[in-house]
Amino acid sequence: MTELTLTVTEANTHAVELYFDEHYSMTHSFNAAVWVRPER
Amino acid sequence: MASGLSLEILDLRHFAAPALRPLLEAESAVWRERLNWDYLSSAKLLLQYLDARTLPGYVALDAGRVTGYIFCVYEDSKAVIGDVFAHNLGERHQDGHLKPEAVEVETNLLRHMIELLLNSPGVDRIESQLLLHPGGALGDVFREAGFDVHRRLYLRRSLAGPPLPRPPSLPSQLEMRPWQDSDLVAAGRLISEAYRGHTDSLINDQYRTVHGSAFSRTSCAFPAAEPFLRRPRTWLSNGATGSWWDCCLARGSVRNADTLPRFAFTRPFAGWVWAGRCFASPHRNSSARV
Repeated sequence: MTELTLTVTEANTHAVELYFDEHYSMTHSFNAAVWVRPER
Repeated sequence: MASGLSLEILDLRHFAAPALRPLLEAESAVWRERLNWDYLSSAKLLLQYLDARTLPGYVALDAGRVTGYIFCVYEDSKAVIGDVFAHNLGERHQDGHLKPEAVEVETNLLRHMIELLLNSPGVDRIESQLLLHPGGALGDVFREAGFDVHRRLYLRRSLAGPPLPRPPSLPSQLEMRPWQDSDLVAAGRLISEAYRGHTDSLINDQYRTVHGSAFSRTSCAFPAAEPFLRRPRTWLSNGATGSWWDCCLARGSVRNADTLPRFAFTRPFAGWVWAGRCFASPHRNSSARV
């Protein structure tokens, strides 16, 4: 094992800061999309 | 088509594994190149579903050649768009952007998939995390259809970099030990509690229930994660009373990388640092009361 990877939501700023403090670096980003049918 | 493509969009269930195999092999190469992930096991699983003709989705044909695909899975009244991929996605311009043809194929496939799901009366919720696709790509397609879009980050930490400090001592009432299968329900309870009101529970509603948290069906919705489930590597701590305090779930490893897709704490972030550090600890596979 030579590396660790993980995904985190950008809005979760406390977690993102924590990971950066632990020497993680961002190598990629992607979208999470959600749709909820409106109540009638 | 502006690019000169002559696209035909057909139901994925018309196609068996041999027709999609070259496409999935090309996609596996992109997973390896971009994320250092071994997608071959996931591709194999997808091919099995294709042969069973049970996977909802679409195929894009350009002049009779399979050039892209998209699929989704249903979980009760929720649909999860698992993946969309076009054949030349891995071929890029020098500036790193995708070729317009690939974008056009993927956009077309995604619009078809979304239209189908929005017009399916039994579908009340649609989720999608297209991990392979760089930030911003296809986001507008989702927004135009009324989706909320959240940016997610893929982080990497080399173990050859700055040395990980030794894990700090745990409070005496805590125990850290490897994962056991019997921990599943307790982990689900902890995760659903920790994620209550959290952004991630808006993105993935599995976090909202004990059952959903304990039994993530990510393996079906997002096959890239499937091989991880076969080799869980998990550390957790629980109190002397038997109630859980923190847990760290890790699923890996793929090639030379371990992935930590999910963790939960009943108090904000407490313990995560030592949990992460444990991966590099010489004691990582041993039960320990510190």
